[in-house]
Formats: sequence, C-alpha cells, structure tokens
Amino acid sequence: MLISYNWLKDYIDFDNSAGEIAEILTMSGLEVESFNRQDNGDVIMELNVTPNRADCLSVIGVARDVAAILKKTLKLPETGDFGNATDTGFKVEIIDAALCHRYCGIVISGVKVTPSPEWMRDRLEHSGIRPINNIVDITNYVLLEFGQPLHAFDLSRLKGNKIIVKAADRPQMIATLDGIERTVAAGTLLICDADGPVALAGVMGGKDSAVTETTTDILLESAWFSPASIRVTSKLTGLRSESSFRFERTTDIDGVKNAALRAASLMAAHSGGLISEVIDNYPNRYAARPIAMSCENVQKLLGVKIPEGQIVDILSRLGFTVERLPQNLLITPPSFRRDIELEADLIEEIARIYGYNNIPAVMPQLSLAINNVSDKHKKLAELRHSLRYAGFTETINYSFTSKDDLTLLNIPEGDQRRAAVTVKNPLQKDYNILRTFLLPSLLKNLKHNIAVGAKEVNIYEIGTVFFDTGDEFPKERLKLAVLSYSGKGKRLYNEPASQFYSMKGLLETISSVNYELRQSNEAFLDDGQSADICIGGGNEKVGFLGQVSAEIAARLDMIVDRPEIAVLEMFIEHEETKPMFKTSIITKYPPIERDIAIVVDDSCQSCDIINLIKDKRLDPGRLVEFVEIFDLYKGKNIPDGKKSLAYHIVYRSKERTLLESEVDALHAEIVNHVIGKTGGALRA
Amino acid sequence: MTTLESFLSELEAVATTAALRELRSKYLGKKGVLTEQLKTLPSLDPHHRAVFGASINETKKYIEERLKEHEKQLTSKEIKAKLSKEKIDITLPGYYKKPGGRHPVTIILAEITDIFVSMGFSIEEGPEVESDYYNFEALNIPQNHPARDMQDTFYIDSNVGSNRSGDDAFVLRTHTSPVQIRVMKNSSPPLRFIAPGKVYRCDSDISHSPMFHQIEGLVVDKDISFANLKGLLEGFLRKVFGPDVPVRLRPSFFPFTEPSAEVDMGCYFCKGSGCRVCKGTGWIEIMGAGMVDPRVFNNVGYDTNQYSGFAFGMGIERIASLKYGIDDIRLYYEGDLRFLRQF
Ligand SMILES: [Zn+2]
Repeated sequence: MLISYNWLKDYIDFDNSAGEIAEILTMSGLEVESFNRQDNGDVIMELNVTPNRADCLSVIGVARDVAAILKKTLKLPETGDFGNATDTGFKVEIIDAALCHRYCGIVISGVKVTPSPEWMRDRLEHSGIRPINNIVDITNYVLLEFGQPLHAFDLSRLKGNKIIVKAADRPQMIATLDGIERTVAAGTLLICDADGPVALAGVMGGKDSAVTETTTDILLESAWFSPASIRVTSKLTGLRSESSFRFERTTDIDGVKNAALRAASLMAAHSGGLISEVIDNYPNRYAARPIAMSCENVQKLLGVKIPEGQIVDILSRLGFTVERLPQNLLITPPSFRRDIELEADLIEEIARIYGYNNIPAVMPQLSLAINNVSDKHKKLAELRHSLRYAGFTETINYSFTSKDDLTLLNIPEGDQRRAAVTVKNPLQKDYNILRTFLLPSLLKNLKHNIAVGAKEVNIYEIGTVFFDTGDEFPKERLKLAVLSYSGKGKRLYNEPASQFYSMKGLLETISSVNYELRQSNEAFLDDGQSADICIGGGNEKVGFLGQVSAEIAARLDMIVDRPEIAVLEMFIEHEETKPMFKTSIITKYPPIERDIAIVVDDSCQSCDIINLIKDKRLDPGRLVEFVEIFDLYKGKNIPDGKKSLAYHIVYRSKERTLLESEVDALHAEIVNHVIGKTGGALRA
Repeated sequence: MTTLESFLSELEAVATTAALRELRSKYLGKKGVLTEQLKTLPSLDPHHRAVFGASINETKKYIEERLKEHEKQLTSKEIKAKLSKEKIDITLPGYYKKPGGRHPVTIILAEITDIFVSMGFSIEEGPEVESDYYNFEALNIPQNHPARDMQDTFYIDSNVGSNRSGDDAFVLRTHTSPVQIRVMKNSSPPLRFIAPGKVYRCDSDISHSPMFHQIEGLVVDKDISFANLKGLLEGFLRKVFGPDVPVRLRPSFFPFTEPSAEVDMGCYFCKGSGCRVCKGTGWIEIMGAGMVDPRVFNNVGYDTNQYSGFAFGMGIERIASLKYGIDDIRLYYEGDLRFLRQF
C-alpha cells in the first residue's frame, strides 16, 4: 500500500523525518519496501501490509501505530452530525445477515457532480487511484483514510426506493462498472434494488446505477461484509478491487457509520449536497471477546521482563481496553483488530511496540540428545562425492516435464513412467506433469551445453520422481541419473574403455549393492549396448544403463552428428552405507598363479567362464582364491564369430603351502572343465 | 716412457666404458703389458726378481685403482647422458578425471545442515506433493483466507488419482513447513530438527523460480523463548556469513507463528551503507521465523501450557545467491557447466 508522509501529519503532530518514520514502520511490522521523494516535498512510501494487519490498509490505521510508538495522540477528522435528517422513506433490508453484518446507507440529495479539489486528486493519484469526479473521489478518499470501502449509487436508478442485501439463489446476470456483463454463481452476495442486482457486494458496483455527470441524488453505501464471502466472489469473478482487497481482510465494523458520515460531510462540502437520511441497519452486532493475559507469560514467551505498567501502556495506546484482575489482565481488542484472538497475539503486539531490537539474544538451554541423522543422508553425501571425483557435475532440474518428453524417448503406453502426476495450473504447457524419470532433464542439460560449445558433458542429478498409483498421495521415490557425452574433440590421452564399460565401472564404483545386469529392452537405448540394473537375484529392475540409441540421439536435434551418449538411471533407496561386518583372515601361505587363454564363441559371456573356473565341485578345498579376466581379443588368428578370453587364477590354501604338482593337477582339471562346458579351445 | 706413464697418458684419452675395457685388457689382460712383464720374472736372478716383481705388482695395483676410479666416473656420466635423452616434459597435464562441479544448492544445504546437526538437530523429510491439510490447514492457513495469497500454489489434478478427494485437495508444497506438522504428529516433545527440501511456487522471473529449496527448523521444549530464537539465528547467521555480520529481527506475519519475525542481516555487499542489492536499506531479508502459534500446537495435540517452541525457514538459493553473487535464479536449473564447474 502507498502511503504519504504528509498525509500522516494530518493525524499526528510529529517532527520526525520521513526516513525516521520509515524506520519506525519497518521495525514495527509495516515494512517500507520503497521510499520516493516527490516534487512537492512529500515522500510516498510503499508499505508491505501483511494479511493480518487489515487495520493498516488506511492512513489512519498506519497513523495509529506511529502514534502508539511516538506516544502521541491520534487526531481524527471531523465527521459531522446529521441527527436532524428527515425520513425519505428509503429502506435497507438485509436478508443474509450472516454475510452482511451491517449496512449503513446515507441519502444525499442535490449534489453537483464536478471534478474534486486539486489536493484530493493529488492524494488519490499518489496513492495509485485515478480521480474521476467529486462523488467517486470522496468514496475513494475515505476508503484510503479509514480503510472502509464505500460505494455511491445514483439514487434515481434504484427501483422501489430500497436496497436488499442477499445472496444469489441462482446464477444471475449483472453488468459491472467496467462494462462487462457477468454471470455470478449462486451464493454470491448481491446488493439489489426492487428489480434485481445493482452491485456485486464488496467487489464492484453495477453499471446501470453508477454515478454520472447528471446524477443529482445519491445513496452512499458503507457496510461490513463477510471476508470469506467477498474473497470467493472476487476469486470466482476474477475481479479484484481496492474494496474487495480490504473486505476480504476484514474491515472495522464499528467504524462503518463513522466513515459514511465522514464521506457525507465531505460530499456536503464539495458537491453542495444535502444529507437527507442516515440509515444504519446493524443486525449482527459485534462483541469483542476479552482475552486473559498474564505478565508472567509475556516474560516466558519473549524471554525478557517487561513491567506491567509498560504492557498496559502499550496495549492502551494501540486501542485495547485493559482491565486489571487480581491474577492477570483482561484485554479487549478494538473492533478493528479482529486478528487478535489469543494471548500469543497480544504478546506479539507488546513485542513489536516494545521493539524486537530490545529483546536480548540468548542461546537456548537444551539437553543433549542423540540426533537421528539417517544413513540415507550419509549415503547421498558419499554418492555425490564419488560422482564428483569420477568427473561428474551435479545438476538440479525442475520436477516438471511433459508427456512429449516420454514420447520423444519411445516410452510405451502402460509403462510405469507413463503414470505421471498432472499439475492443474502449470506455468507453461511443457511443464504439466511431474517427472517419473530424470533422463529427459539430463538430455536437455546436454543439449544446452552443446549449444554453448561444450565438447564433453559429464553430469548427474539426484532427484525425486512421482508416480500416480491411484492412492491419495503419489508415490515419491529418489533416483540417480548420470549422463556422459564425449564429443569428437582431440585429447592428449585416450580413454581406455568404451562408454558402456565406463558407465558400468561407474556403477561399480559408486554402488554399495551387488547389482546384476540383464539384457535391457529400453526403447531409447542401443540394443547391443544396454543393460537393466537388477537386484534380488535379477528379479527386480531398479534402473538401466547403456548408450542412447542412434534413432533417439538423432531426434534430440543437437548440432553434433550422431552424438554418443552413455546414460545410467536408477532408484537409490536400496543403496546404503556399508553394514556391520567381520573381517576375513589374511593367510600367510604363498599363492601359486596360473593363466588360461581360451577361444570361445562370441556369444559366450565372460561371467559364465568365471563361474566355471570357480565351480566348487572341482575344487572342494576352495583353493581358487581369485579369478580375473585380463584379455579379450578378436581379429587376426582368431576365427570369425569367435573371441579369445584370458584369465588369471590365483591358487592358495589358508592352511598350508601348496605344492606345484597339486596346483598343476587342479588347474588342468579346471581347464578341461571350461573347454568341455563352453566348447572352446585353448588358444594356440 | 715407463709403463705407468704410457698407461696414464692413454687413460686420459679414454671416454667410454668400452674403451676403458680395452685399456684394461691391454695392460692387465692375459696378454697385457704387465702380464708379459711378469712372465719375464723367472729369468731374472733372485735379487732382481724380488725387486722387479714387487715393482710390477705395485704398478698393477695402482693401475687397477685408477681404472676403477675412472670407470665409476664414466658410468655415472653415461647414465646421466642416457637419462637426459629419455627426459619427459613434466609440464604436460597428469592423467586423471578432473573432478566435476558441485551444485551451489547442495553446497549451501550441506553447510547449513552441518551447523544444525552439530547442535544436535535431526534431519526430517516430507513429501513434495502435499495435502491441503498439511500445507495449509494445520498451519493455520484456512480456506478462503487472504494468507493463502502469500504463496502462489500449484495444484495437482484431482482427475488422475482416483482416490484423491475433492478439488485442490493436493498441492506441490509451497514451503517445507508441513514437515513441522508431520513430525509433531508422530513424536512428542522435546524435539529439534531441520527439514530441507524442494518447494514450489507458481511464479517465474529473474528472482523467482517455480521450484526452489528451503530449510525449515523447529525447536519445541519447555521454556523456549523469543530471546532463544534470536540467539540461535544470530549464531547461525554469523557462522554462515561471518562473525561480525549484524542481524536484526522485525515484526512480520506467518499464520503458523506468533509472534512472527522477518530476519534481516547487514547487507553483505555495501556493509550497511545502502546499495542496489539491499534497495538502499543496508539490510537484506534472509529468513522468516517466529514462536510456534498455539493454534498449530493445538492441531498436533501439544500442551501449550507445558511447551513452547520456535520455527524458522530460509530459501537456499537466496543464501547461495548472496554468498556467490548470483543475480539470476534461473542459472541454478539450466545445468550449464560453465556455471556449475565454478563450484
Ligand atoms: Zn547493500
């Protein structure tokens, strides 16, 4: 809200500078967000008025706080007394008193609609309101002054000499001031005349009953409407006005008539009108609820002792009624402070006037406790550390994506990743679902980086994915995704392994679980260079790794031809820090080492041969301590469709020194076993 | 010229170990000069034989010593020469994986988490898709209350989850505060924890992102006061931004705290004299905080006569931006390596 420094001076005598006033406001809860000096010497401040402080949506409301802090008296404007107004026969009928607690109508006759005086137009403009004519301007001026929204009807346009306040019993049409024909929902609170709606209560007046240059008699409306009702109307119609903004935050019900009288007296003074009748229909009288408060609790909650005298003084200056009881204080908030309901609310009032700066800073005295920082957080930190030193940079992407991303990657209908949660009001169309996997985001990161000239992109993300399972809450799970792209740029040292094996190696480096890799049928991966990551003996798929297929890579529309992109993505809930375990004995007996090189069919898998070498039926004494592959060769001297694999075997006993002869015998048996089972041959 | 003199002059000319080997055999070999001389000994008379024999042996010994000495010098010279031929360029880069960049949000999250964990705080989490109840109602933000306008909310489409009741019943959480409710409902006081995580607001420009990170903190115990909140937050901010940073609390409004406070720290950039970042005020808003509203304690069934507590919350990107001088929040989510590799 915009507030003028000079206007504040109408209600308080002070000589503090505008800068000092801004500091006072900020430090008492009305944050000054901007501060603009005007040519006329005034300063316009923009206040951030929090939703609880409806009372400060007016100049007098703000002045009241300033006066309380400066310990000054608040001077309220004259409102005039129109006790001798005659009965014009105009009636106000409130049908839905639950939504309209009070309606005050003042009939003013013989007005002359002209431009309002310059000082008033100035103040309106500096408060962000466009001046229109004296009648409308006065309603706005008093709205700014008291925070009470007012509306002026052209009396001659109101049929049946009456106003009826009621909720629409069916959807109804009304043409509002802005010239738009609107249909409002049943339940919307309307101001009607004998024929039908003339205003959307608290939000906007009707076009047909608006004050024009030819208007001579007016009905001035000042009312109290239920905040929730006005908020719903405003939301449903999409109409927000200075009035609705205040009504939905609640207005001062006991100030309704006073504000109307203030406006009426201004109209009498500036439009030549005569106050003919003052109607005040107040069926739902407000009674503030007193709150018991103890000074002990003030000290307990704030951590500072404020003397009772000072507490009483602060609350009184803010307009609260204080009654001293033997045990405690009984405080009644003024009608404009409906936000004050509990003792804690009162303590905040005391604290903000006392000054947060005057409350000491004291570290809490807490007993020691074992905190339950879970293994998950440790594991995630470890994972990030490992990935970082494997050369990968962490990215964080929005949780939003679109179905197009799923289609782009050939994710079939019925796939779990299609069960996405939809956002009802997305910021943009391609952000309308929540991610079910992270790869599309990393591919976008890749595209961005290539576009800005990156030759190598090694990135990862750890993030939540969301699945709509039909349950109330979507299923949220944590995933890791990794992407590695290496362009055709020249480099000093060659990478020793292909992308697939590098990615597999990364999995083995970072993981604490023994995964099994199975042939993958992910539609976006290269058939020959991809695998599913499985746990539970290969039964549960938790992710995939491999090379993005050429088809998909081409679709990504990147400036490089046929980019080679290796990816990995997996759930990481089952990753955990190393569990408790016992070390195994380190034997003192020497090893005997043997190699085996064998030519087998291309389709033969390395792990099968290792399993054959480790076959316990051949080696009941468990003498094979360790097996590893050290060579894979295809080409010259090896027939087509075959490959040569070479393994290094370490034999060792835990109990004794082995004899060369017994190892030779066992080794020969193992070699025969491998040859027999694979149909291979020893490499010449 | 004596044998010794001719040996010494020849030794002078020897430059390689091979030449040295030749010289050795010339003098000491089977047909070497000294060997030949020794062969003449038997023909001499006993007196001369003894004298001459001793002289030859002495010469032989001397020559051997000189040869050894010279060989040593030559060998070391030759090794040096060999090495210098194989010398590598030590200024070429080492072969290693250059470490990747850390995400600034992760760095700040870890830094803040460490500080609170060191004070015995636990780490708690909650779902990112929240129900209206946890995100709003239980935090004293009722339906149709203007406080709902404080946060632009993303709603989850109710048509999808068949069991999801009512319109707008589920949202992308707008803050990490619902974790307060979840934890308090599941445990009894005293407690102290932080809850880091992603939050969502329907808003996007240079300083607003539809997704960002927050850390929520909650302390509930007997005799917890506003002064304690001030003490803890001052200590925390000075740990993050330096021991001399000024900190101030000023009244504000959050539906779930009472009294509520906005926490400012002295502007990091102008040291309080006023600049663009602090809009000339010398102060930067850094977090929100307050004493837990008794209405919230009632919602979770805590006895407000026995317990009090405070809560605080802060935006991680905001802190990272201040620390690293980042002025466009979108940089955090583009995955641009030129940005991320700086961390
Ligand atoms: Zn500054």
